Amino acid sequence: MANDKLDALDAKYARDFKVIGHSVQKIDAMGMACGLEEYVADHDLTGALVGYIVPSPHAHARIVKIDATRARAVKGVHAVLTYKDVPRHLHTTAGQGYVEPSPYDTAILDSKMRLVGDHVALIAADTREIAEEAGRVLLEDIEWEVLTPVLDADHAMDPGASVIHDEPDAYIPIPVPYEPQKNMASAASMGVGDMDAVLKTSHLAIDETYSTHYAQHCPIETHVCLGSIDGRDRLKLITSTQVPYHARRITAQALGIPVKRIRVNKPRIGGGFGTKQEVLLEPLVGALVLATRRKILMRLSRAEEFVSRVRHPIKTRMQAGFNADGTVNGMRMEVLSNTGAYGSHALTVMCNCGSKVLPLYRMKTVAFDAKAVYTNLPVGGAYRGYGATQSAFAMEVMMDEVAEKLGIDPLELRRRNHIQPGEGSPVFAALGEGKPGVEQKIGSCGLSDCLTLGAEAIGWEEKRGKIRGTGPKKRGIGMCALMQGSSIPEIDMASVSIKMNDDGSFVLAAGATDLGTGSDTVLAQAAAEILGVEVTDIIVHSSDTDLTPFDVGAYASSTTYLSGEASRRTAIEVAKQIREVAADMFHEEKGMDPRPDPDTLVLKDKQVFAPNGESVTLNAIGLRSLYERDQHQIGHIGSAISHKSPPPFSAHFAEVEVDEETGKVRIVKYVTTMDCGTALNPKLAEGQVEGAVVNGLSFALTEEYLFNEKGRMQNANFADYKIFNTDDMPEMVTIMVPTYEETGPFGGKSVSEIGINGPIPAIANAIYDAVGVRIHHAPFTPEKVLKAIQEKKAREAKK
Amino acid sequence: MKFTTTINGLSREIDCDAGMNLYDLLRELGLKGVKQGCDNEGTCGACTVLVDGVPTLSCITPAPKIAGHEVTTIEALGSPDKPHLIQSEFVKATAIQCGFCSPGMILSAKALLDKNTNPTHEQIAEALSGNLCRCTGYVKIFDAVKNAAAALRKEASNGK
Amino acid sequence: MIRAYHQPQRLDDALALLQQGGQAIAGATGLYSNRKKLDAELVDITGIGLSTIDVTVDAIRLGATVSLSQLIGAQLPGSEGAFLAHVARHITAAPMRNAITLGGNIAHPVFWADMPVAFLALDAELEIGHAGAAPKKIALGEAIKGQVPWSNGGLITHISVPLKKGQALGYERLSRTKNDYAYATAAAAMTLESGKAKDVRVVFGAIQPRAFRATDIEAVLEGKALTPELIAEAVDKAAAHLPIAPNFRASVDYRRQVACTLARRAIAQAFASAGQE
Repeated sequence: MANDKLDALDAKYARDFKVIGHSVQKIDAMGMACGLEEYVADHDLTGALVGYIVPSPHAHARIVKIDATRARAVKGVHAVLTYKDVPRHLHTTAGQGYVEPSPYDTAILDSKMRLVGDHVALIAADTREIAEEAGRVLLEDIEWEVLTPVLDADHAMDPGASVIHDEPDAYIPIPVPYEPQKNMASAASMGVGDMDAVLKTSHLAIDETYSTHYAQHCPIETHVCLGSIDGRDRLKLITSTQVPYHARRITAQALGIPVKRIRVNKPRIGGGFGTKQEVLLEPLVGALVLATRRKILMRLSRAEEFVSRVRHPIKTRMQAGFNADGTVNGMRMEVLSNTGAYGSHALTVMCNCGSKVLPLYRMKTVAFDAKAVYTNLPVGGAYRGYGATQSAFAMEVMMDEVAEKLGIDPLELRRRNHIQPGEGSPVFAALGEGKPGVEQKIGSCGLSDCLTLGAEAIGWEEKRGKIRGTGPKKRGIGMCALMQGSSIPEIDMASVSIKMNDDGSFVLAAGATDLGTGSDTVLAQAAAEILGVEVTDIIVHSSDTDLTPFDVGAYASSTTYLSGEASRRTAIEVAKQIREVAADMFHEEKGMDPRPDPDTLVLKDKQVFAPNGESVTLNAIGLRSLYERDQHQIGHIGSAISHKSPPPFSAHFAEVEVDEETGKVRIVKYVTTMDCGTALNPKLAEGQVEGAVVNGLSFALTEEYLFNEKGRMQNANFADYKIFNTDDMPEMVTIMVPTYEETGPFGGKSVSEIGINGPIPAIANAIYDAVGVRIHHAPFTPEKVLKAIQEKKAREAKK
Repeated sequence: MKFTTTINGLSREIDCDAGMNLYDLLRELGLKGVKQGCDNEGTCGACTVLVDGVPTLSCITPAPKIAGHEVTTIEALGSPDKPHLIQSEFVKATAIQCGFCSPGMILSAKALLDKNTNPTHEQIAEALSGNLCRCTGYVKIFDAVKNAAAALRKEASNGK
Repeated sequence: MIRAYHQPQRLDDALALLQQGGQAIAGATGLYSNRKKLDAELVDITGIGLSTIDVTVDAIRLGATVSLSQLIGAQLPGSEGAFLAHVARHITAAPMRNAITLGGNIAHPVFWADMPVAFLALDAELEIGHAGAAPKKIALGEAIKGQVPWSNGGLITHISVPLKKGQALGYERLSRTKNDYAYATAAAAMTLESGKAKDVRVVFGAIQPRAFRATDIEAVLEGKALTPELIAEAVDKAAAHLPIAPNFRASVDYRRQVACTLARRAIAQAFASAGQE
């Protein structure tokens, strides 16, 4: 039945693409398989010094006195930079477009420490061991004023709480709420209609609060940056980044040097997932390079990586009013985001809690109230899902609770309420990122088919609501529905250049950032489709601020939708130029008279075909255009911005087994259905879904930050912070559900983020089905689940 | 200290610090397929090499331990013009995204398939359990190993 | 700082180096993450012939440098052999198991070492070598009380596990992921005589730096038919004073509950499989 349905969808939406929609081999995969692709630390390190950040032992403290004399005297140390030795240009480390919607509250080095591990000083030394020794010496020569740390987001804004950003010069460069004196890093609000009336008059009103926890992206390659200065006094940064252009601009700002003096290049990088959408190491390395005039390699240890950038822990309160038939009258989402010691991504993650979740369901009345607070804890940054992950938990468990109260099947509740093609939401226009958003109507939406196919794959009818399991181990299934976005409309820009070679091959240069996602390949596919060639005829270079055209970088699920579109448009322009030359050749060399209209010529199989069937090869066109006649370089730089952010849609179904005596939750089977429009490269798209989902599974169950009472993370290593390995894998089913998004390149939407949002709510709902307890606070550790089970038993015993 | 070892089939005279680990030694020798993802704790597997065919975490292995033994790194398996069958299957299955875990993952797979060309799903899981991947969710890595096993069985039955 | 790396080829040479203050290493899996605290000459004992496994009708004699992978792959006989492999299989991940040795797992008082749990349940005996002295035999349980015999130049050379006819074993562990250190582990061993449990041994792991036997639970169960009620009673009685060394992973109270649940299950598991012999 499912296969018939999928076949029917394929038939409905498929286009006759030659390269798009095919699982073309990732262009760097073989090089990676052979260990030959270069990552940052694989570059020539001859003469390089190690760059090291001396970590603050205190969560909140001021440097009263600091003397680097002894540290500088340690043998093998080449530089020790304190806040006195670097310029103070406040900036944000958030890799966002100018003007960044994040507070300028970070200096390269400051006299105040705001979290354990904050940057006391920068050291350049022969080895890491020597740098660490010098760091220890330096810490002995610091007089501290230790301040009370703020370690609880719920009380960060209490009157009398320690002020974390009391520096007079911190500010936010856009007109949005920012009250650092109250430890408030951001606030946002929107509302349509009268929520109080909805709650008073609805057949069912619900008011529940949920929370998500700290987590780290755990890219296997940590943050790493290799900096050097060349003979033209330009700073070259080879860096593991998702945002090369923002890195260049913000590094220039932080160092107080012109942008043109910096070149940023991203080679292969070992994962990012958002933690590298941050200009974290580049200004630091830049400072050390300028101070020493030497090559500097700075690599975060795994322990340092854990407190570099993290997922914002967020508390979400959902209030909603429903009719008896399950339709929504109105919802209010209230968000408290813990942004940590610095405000990078504070506003934007917080706003995405609302903008990427509330529009999923149709409602006339809607309200969103959010705050982000500073604490003396690790800094929240960009992490796959970007706020939607945190609030989708709240939304989708609330929906499950409502379904139960109203006696409606959870699937049916989604069907009655979810947004449909042609519909909009008041949230789209009202909630942007620090300014109004962009009105949009849904184009493609395959959520209905996602729900049907997913339910069938998990066995919803047979299993839901039934008591299953042996002994103390009980099984249950749960589901959730999701949306995300594709790029930030009217703000983000991508550009691609394509030029033609003698032999009819092409060089495609893109600012777009491949972090393992395969964007180099997908952009090449887009160009190859238009140019009538294969991906192997396209040489791709990306992410070099000197040599590739601008792209905001890999975030906001924009690479396929936006950079892919830039590639497509550029290829169309290049194809036009090719047709002009071909028309000349048909006329001059093949005797076609009159000269054929270029618009009638077709690019196919590395040739250009005339309507009469005659052809010239791209090779011949290349040679003629470069060497022989009317010589010119066939090529074009094209750009794209988006005017919409069409959501991908997804439905997740989890089957769990809960041990009632230990609280341990085991995932038996996980089904993901995904509508990403056309999957430009199906296997790469599936890989994005699978990777995001598995990250979500461990986020739901096993990943957590364990702090001591002084704000120091206790488990900053892979032995103590657990992500899944192959032994932990449940049965996974991934079903790509075709649709076609008219505004997207070849019908495509985004795919990379949405998958991580499903596991927490789907598993929470499955736990309820299994053992009848609602867990509102992630992660669902065995201790937490057991406590909930025991409390339930105690309540029932009292009855 | 000095010792002799064989790396990728070549005999080598090594002179290194007593406290050096195998990862640093290999990187110094220009073998960059070993990657670092943890703090010398052996917990991520990106540094995996084979010592006498056995998957070994080079970041926690003292360099002198390889004296008199055979070390195989990813560079010895194949090259883009002549990849090893396992490398080809990883590429075909789209089991490689960022590629940082891939050399270690492929070597662990090779060690398994050298001993057993018909592994169960659980045996594959066990063999790869020390190689963390954050990109793929492992699904296509399992596919790659199963496909490689099938291809190896076919090769063997064709009498190659 | 690691001042030297010795690779002796004979036991006597290794013992001499240890007597001179050298530090024995085998798999060395914990070496590099702790090397900043080190100032030693290392003595790599993997070349002195202690990777042998000898099976007789009475015992399995395991060399101290047998790795966990080697142990699992040896497919040793009896319920004891299967038990050892089962416990080893649950320790961390595959490439680590290639390096972790039995002697290393016994020698260090780290809460996550699980082979001592298995060996204690099996009533294992250690052979300890010392330069200039005859090898000494000592029960594992005795060895880990107070100062261990492998300090001051001593070296575990072999571990012997007696093979008992009809021995039934159970083992349970709980951890967040499959290869994670455990919240708690529990093992049980017994034989059956006329439907009554005999030579009952109950061992806890991961709740103290070293594995230990719960002699109070054993006393209640010894010589009885092990009904679920009796098992629960025995474990519940011991629960209140079960020593849990706190760590950041979970509360003491939760780990106590888990340890008790696992003990009940391990004992029941052993008793049920004993009945099948």
